[in-house]
Amino acid sequence: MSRPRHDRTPASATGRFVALYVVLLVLLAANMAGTLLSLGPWAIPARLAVAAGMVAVIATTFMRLRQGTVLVRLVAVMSLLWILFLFVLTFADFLTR
Amino acid sequence: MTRTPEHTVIVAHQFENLEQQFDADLLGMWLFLVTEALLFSGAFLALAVYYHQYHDTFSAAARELHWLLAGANSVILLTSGLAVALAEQAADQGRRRAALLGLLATIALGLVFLAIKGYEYHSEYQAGLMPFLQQPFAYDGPNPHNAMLFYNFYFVLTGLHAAHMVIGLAVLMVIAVLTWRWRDGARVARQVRIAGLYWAFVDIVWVLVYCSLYLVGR
Amino acid sequence: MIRDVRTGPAPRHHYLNAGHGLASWFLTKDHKRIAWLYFVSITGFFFLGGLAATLIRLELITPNGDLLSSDAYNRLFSLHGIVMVWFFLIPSIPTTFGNFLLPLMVGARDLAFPRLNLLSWYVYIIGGLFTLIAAVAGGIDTGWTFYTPYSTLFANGAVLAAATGVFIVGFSSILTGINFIVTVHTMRAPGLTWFRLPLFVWAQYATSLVMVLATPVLSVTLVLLAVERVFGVGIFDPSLGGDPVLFEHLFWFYSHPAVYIMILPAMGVVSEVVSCFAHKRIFGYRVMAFSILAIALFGFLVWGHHMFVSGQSIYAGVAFSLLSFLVSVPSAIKIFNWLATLYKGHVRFDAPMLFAMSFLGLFLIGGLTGVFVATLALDVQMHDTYFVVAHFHYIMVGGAVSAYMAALHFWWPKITGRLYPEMWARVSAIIVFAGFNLTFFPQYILGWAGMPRRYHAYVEDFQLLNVFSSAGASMLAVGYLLPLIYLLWSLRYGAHASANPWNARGLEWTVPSPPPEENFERPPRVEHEAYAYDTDA
Ligand code: HEM
Ligand SMILES: [Cu+2]
Repeated sequence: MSRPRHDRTPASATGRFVALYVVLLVLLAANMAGTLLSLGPWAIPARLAVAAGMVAVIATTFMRLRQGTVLVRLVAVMSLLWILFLFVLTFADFLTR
Repeated sequence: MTRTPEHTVIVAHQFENLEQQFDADLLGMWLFLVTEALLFSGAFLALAVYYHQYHDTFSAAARELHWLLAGANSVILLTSGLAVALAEQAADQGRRRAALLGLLATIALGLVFLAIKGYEYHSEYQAGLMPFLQQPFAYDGPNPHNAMLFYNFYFVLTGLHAAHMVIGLAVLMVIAVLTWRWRDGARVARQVRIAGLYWAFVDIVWVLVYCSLYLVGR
Repeated sequence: MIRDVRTGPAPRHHYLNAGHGLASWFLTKDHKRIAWLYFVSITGFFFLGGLAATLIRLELITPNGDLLSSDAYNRLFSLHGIVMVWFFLIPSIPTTFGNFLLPLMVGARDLAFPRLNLLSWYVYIIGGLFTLIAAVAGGIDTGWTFYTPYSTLFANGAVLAAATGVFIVGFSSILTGINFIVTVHTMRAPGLTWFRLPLFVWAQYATSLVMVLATPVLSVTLVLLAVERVFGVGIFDPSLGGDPVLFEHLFWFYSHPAVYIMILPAMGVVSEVVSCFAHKRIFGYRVMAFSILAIALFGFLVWGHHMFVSGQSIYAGVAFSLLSFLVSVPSAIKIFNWLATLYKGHVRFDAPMLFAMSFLGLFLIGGLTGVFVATLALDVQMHDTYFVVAHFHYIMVGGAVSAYMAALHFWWPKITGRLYPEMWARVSAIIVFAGFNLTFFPQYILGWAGMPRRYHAYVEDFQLLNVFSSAGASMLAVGYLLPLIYLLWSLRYGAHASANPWNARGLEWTVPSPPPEENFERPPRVEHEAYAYDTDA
């Protein structure tokens, strides 16, 4: 009654929240432990990838993007696209100097 | 809006029904978060450009940061993210006490985070790694000038994040009071949901700040 | 036409007499009254910016710097730019006509967030106060672009106050943008599908997207600037290895899209006016709507064309040059479609139409010279000359301000319930058009001949054209002051307007002039699009 059906979180969701919280902790630990390995040129991409995974978990679960309407998901994707514009075109300069 | 008995549905005058109002609030908050994301991305972009140019110096400078302490702080902030998600769920189901508890836990964890962050700043200040406000810069690694640039970003990015935490905490405190009063259940659930979105976003920013400042250079 | 359809009895109750006293204005949540708050404040800033421009043009009548020191001159053009860009042109159409009309056009009682709407006006005012403080406390001489390291390490003056003002007013844009986007998505009346929306709404929507996506990057750039200047936290400081070109990237990531914040709403206005005064359906409606979105999108991919001589990599320069050409495609489509709308229409030349036609001609010239300066090799020569100054004034003043004036006259009867004196309005439109061209066309020639911008003195050969330009500026001043007089006059003495004095289509013309507080008695059901001129009475 308080929120539109698509946005509601049933009692059964508690388990999912806790499970994904644990996933987040594992990812964090993995990223921290990763600094002890010598990954060479892969180190930075690997660390950023794990962080991106954590961001994805928070966004889809805690922010309920998974149940979000198409519009809200579009908005989230839009922000990523625009951040991409910013980075790609700026680096188009700095990488070709 | 005036005080009404429970279960009375109040819709702001410009809306036709509660669902429309909820959709509007949610979309508005998401758009606001888009602006926040772009705001931070400008600062991250600058950091990335300089990391690209001064990779070795920046990595050396990053190793001076308290990465384990900040890692523990990450755990605290992620936990607060769980707490607020559970508070949203509880508010939605009309469980006032549980919602309030979740919110208070979130606030408490947020305060602990800030305290630890403050301790970190303090120890960097003592180590002479705060290269502004006429402080001496005591960094003894290679290329101290470029390293200074790294610390500047460290303070700007974490400072910007901390400022958002403070705003988020203030919002959560107001929402906690509203939850405690519980005048209009639907409204409270909506407010907790919207505030929770903001808090989750602050979480996301921290994940990225932690990764790019503390971990990438190690 | 025998009976005068333009006049009619005034409604007994409307938003203007729904409340009295200061609080009913300063605490209002009615989008129509908030539009008035903005209207009065941006008009004030417009004339403040105009005052600075007058002094600039006075100085430039003679080749020697005799009226103003170079320092004072720098402060004046910086004030002029900052005020005109952020405190007039960016808020101009969205916060006044957008605020007033958007709910009416989508058939809603108000915007989605009325309180936020009021807040954004207060934020605007606070930002404006900071800028005024900066002006009084010595002004700034960085230009409106705040380039580092000059602005952070060397410039003296109230840079912090000015940057704070701009930072704050950015949030006003952001809040307005969010409000509009949410309103268009969630508040449309039953039956009002996306492709039945007036193009004015599409334009406001696209503008709002640009506001929301670009402005935050300006905010963070100004934060970085402020910490560097105030706390000495080097960010762009070359002595730490920082890169001032990075500042330019961040600044123009906002500021090129910002020029579309100024022009897109103008395009929306012109679509409404052209279609109404040609009494024809707008030609190629869907293409028009998609071009608006395309312009908003491409506008984000071209910012590097401001940096061709900054030290940016030449490869990036080529890419930005090519991408810039892309923008002209949807812009040209729009020009063709407006012309096609006029073709074989029964065109009436009332003042709004005269202003809209000014827009068409001047925007065309400004846009075409935009392609000149977007051509990398040519811009190496043109950059920082009066050619660029002429280019952007053709678009921002000739285009955007003309459209603002068109909107002002077109919707004046709706907003105030009064008719303005048509003859005087036509005189004003013609003076503005002539004065504008006399002011700015010589600047193309001056720039082509190599006169640099931002100096208070110049070589004697340039004097004749500069005198023309200053003479034109005084005509412009007359042209813009006239409406101030006759519009104020009409508030008291103008005839009462009917609900639909232009025989226009669109939801806003179905409610009385001025509209009631709640806009519609009951939510309207929309059966057809906003340009149903063919189904004529
Ligand atoms: C549509 C609305 C437009 C507006 C409001 C506008 C406004 C401006 C402004 C304000 C500047 C000067 C910035 C400064 O240096 O202070 C400028 C410069 C420039 N504009 Fe436009 N412009 C528009 C369209 C275009 C188009 C369509 C193009 C290209 C296809 C274009 C290309 C350029 C270029 C390349 C410059 C930089 C020139 C230089 O500094 O050397 N503009 N414009
Ligand atoms: Cu541009």
